[in-house]
Amino acid sequence: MLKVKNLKKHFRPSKKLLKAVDDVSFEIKAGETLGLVGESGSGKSTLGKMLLSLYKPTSGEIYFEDKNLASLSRKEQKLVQRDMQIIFQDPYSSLNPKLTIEEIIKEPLLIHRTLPKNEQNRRVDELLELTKLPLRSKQKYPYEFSGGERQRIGIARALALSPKFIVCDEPISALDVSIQAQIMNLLEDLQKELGLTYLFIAHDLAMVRHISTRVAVMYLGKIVELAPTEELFSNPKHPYTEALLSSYPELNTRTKKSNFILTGDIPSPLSPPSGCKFHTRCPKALFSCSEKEPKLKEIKRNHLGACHLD
Amino acid sequence: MNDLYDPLDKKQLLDVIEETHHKSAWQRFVSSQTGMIGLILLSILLFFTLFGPYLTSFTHLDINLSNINKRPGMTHWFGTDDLGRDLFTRLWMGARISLFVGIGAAFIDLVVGVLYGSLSALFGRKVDEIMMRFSDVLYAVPHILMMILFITVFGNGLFSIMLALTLAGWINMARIVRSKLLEVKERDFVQAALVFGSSKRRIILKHLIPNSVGIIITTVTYSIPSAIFTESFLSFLGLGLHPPAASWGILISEGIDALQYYPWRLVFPAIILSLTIYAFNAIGDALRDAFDPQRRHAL
Amino acid sequence: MKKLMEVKDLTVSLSNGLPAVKNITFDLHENEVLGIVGESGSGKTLTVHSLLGLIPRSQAFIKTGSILFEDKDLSLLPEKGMRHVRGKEISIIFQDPFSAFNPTMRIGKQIIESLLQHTNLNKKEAKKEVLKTLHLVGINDPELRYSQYPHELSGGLLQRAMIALALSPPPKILIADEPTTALDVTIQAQILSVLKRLQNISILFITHDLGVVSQFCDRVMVMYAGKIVEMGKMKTILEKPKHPYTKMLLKSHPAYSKQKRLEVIPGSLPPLSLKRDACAFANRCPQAMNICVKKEPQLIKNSRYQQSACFLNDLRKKNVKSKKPKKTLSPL
Repeated sequence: MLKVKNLKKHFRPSKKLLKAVDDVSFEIKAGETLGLVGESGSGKSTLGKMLLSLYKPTSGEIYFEDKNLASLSRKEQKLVQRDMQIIFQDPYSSLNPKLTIEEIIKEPLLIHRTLPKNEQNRRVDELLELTKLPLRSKQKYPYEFSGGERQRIGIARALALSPKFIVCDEPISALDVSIQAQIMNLLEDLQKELGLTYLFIAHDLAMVRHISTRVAVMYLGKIVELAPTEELFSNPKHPYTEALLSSYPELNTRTKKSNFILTGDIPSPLSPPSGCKFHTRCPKALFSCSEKEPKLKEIKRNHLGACHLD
Repeated sequence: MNDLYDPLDKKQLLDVIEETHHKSAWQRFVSSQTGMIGLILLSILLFFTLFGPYLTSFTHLDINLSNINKRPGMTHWFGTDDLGRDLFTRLWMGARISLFVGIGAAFIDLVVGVLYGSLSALFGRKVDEIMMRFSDVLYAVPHILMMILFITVFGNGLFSIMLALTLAGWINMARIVRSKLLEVKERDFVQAALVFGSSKRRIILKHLIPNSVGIIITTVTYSIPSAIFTESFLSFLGLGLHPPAASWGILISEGIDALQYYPWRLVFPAIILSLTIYAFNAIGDALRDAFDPQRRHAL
Repeated sequence: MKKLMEVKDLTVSLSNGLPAVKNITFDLHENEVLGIVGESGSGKTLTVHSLLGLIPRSQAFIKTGSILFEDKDLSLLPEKGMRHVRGKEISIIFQDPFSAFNPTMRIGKQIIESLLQHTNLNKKEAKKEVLKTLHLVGINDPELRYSQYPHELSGGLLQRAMIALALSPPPKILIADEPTTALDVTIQAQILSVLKRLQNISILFITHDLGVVSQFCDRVMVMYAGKIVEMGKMKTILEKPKHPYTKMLLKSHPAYSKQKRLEVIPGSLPPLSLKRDACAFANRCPQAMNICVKKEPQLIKNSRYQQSACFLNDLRKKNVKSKKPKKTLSPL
């Protein structure tokens, strides 16, 4: 459904170069959930927002259902906007505090005018039911709701135009643990019921593992590993992935138990290391790792990794 | 007692817990002691401003040379000045002028500031840079000097003074509006609107402006006392309105000369001026807290 | 094991009189790591900050209870006395390392100040100690970092510097208030390994992250709505939780639940004002019984290593199974 080729996003904060997303390519098939993990500076959030045209790519192409997003006419752009939506991380800033819930959920419908007025109200009710919110929420304001409920409202809004693809940008990170499960289950149910495709961006590996069919690991703007979920968790190929998994011993999955604690801090994306960006912290680094950048290639069937050691 | 350990019927529990303990902005304002005190105080002051002069049988210009510098008493509640004019009447006539000039100046600050700040924030980048640098330079010029020059050129009529007061004030409002708009622009719900394909105009009207109104109101509420004080200060220096007009600054200026023997001539205007400024500031503080979105779970 | 601190029946009330934290009773032994797990509103931060008298009286105060440490009752100690305890015998590290340091002073100077204040070392000896501690917490170039300002260090490094600050001089108890919550996962792992390496110290580790607690703590205390609901040895609690909240918390996290579908805890925390003589979890508990809204459950011992506060314990004692909730019939 979605194809990304050589996508790059460079920022220039005060004249320095920040390669937030540096030559990323991948595909997302219809109906699947691609998990995207990475720490600060990985570029995962920027990548997600680029797919929705919130950022314009510096170079590279994004294809949605085989259409190049950059070459669409305004009319076609509007159509694609209906198919691709986003759910944000912070339930406290993702809703306009001055609008009622009804107005918030109705907004996409008003912009796109796909339904006549009387149908719009019904659609709002439908969406509230889908996200298990009481119908009397309509007249209330966001401040009257808890974090978990606000997140549901955000999800209801994202579903208003019946999208096919949703970018979930850390949808549970800001919620209490006991509420996270509610939202995760909701997202799963909706996927089954409505046939949605997700890009699930998160830093909680356990949750990512639970919901994703495949997982991509990013570090400083590059994808360092991409594989089906269980394969990645039991046979990680990239040292960074191994280190990430070591931080979650409760996941207890890997076939070979290597326990890495990385040294040093995450380098700033403003001054990334040469060659393989991970080499400064990699316990297996060789000299050549500081010279040449490894390319993302297929190591096993469907299992891609970017490391010189494979 | 066996049925103590029977399963609980939760329906009744769930209904009770429904209550929300979040308040709206107005509710927060009303629950603020300072805010309500300020509001009540201001209402009282406004009442006297409007009706005060009619409560006496004197006008603020009535000269009565046989009645000069009388102590506050039954006929002259605040006493008289050195031309026998009733100070109570003069005080509230002065209130009209001071408030008119103060609120007027704050209002002009509001209009100019909001326009300037919004344009700067919404056009962004180069335009924003240029506009902000320009206002920075303007802000660096000593304000009182600017006002004095303005008054010298355009005279000291009521409107001339009002305009003089706005010369530096609008910059503050412009900066605040600009900074708020830039902040709101980055909030997730605006990004969400962009993802839906909302037009820029719609985003400005439905998202940016409603969320900036709070801070604009608060800032205006603070600019009023600032303008009133500046006007009084100018008049006190003799640069503002001239006698026989009766702004608070003039009354205070006249009162200082007579402080030793007739202190009431200074005390009353000074107290009323202070109370007015306090009232506006108190309301401003309460508004600022009421609009503050820091309403998250603690503990 | 020797008991280092005994907290008995601690109740902390807010300025409006409502008890935010009730009847907290626990012991901290020598050389152990006690985890305090809870979500927002559980009262874990309030409890721990009250131990050190860090809460301004205008916000909350200790209503009843005692905090016994080294023959002193910390709850009764005036501010002057507390200052001798804080930073010397009991130290605390926070979530935000930037708030622990004065941005206008060099790191080394701030750490050495604490040492000089609480010990008899002279400046030269103190500096040596500080460099040693900086190295201990995993800062590779202590000389360099000693003379840097807080803003020159990254989050992870500054967090380590904060630990070094808390360890100068070495306290008997270290309170760690969500020290890794704001950090990236790989940095979090580093900080945890630093804390694990510390010797001759007891740690009170507050977090909402079950994963972190399970890696690191010997015993754990689960808090909900201001009360301790379960407490015991880490392994025991993970494998055989007795309180429904703990059980559901574990089941709702994919790392601990083998099921395909995450178990959900319905509803949410009841507001503070609503608390009376009842179990605060009753409205969300799938096993709630009538008694749960009539009386407050007390913390009782389930086994040598476990305690929980739940009326289901009464059933266990009697060896009775709890009845399944009836379907509510509409009145005819």
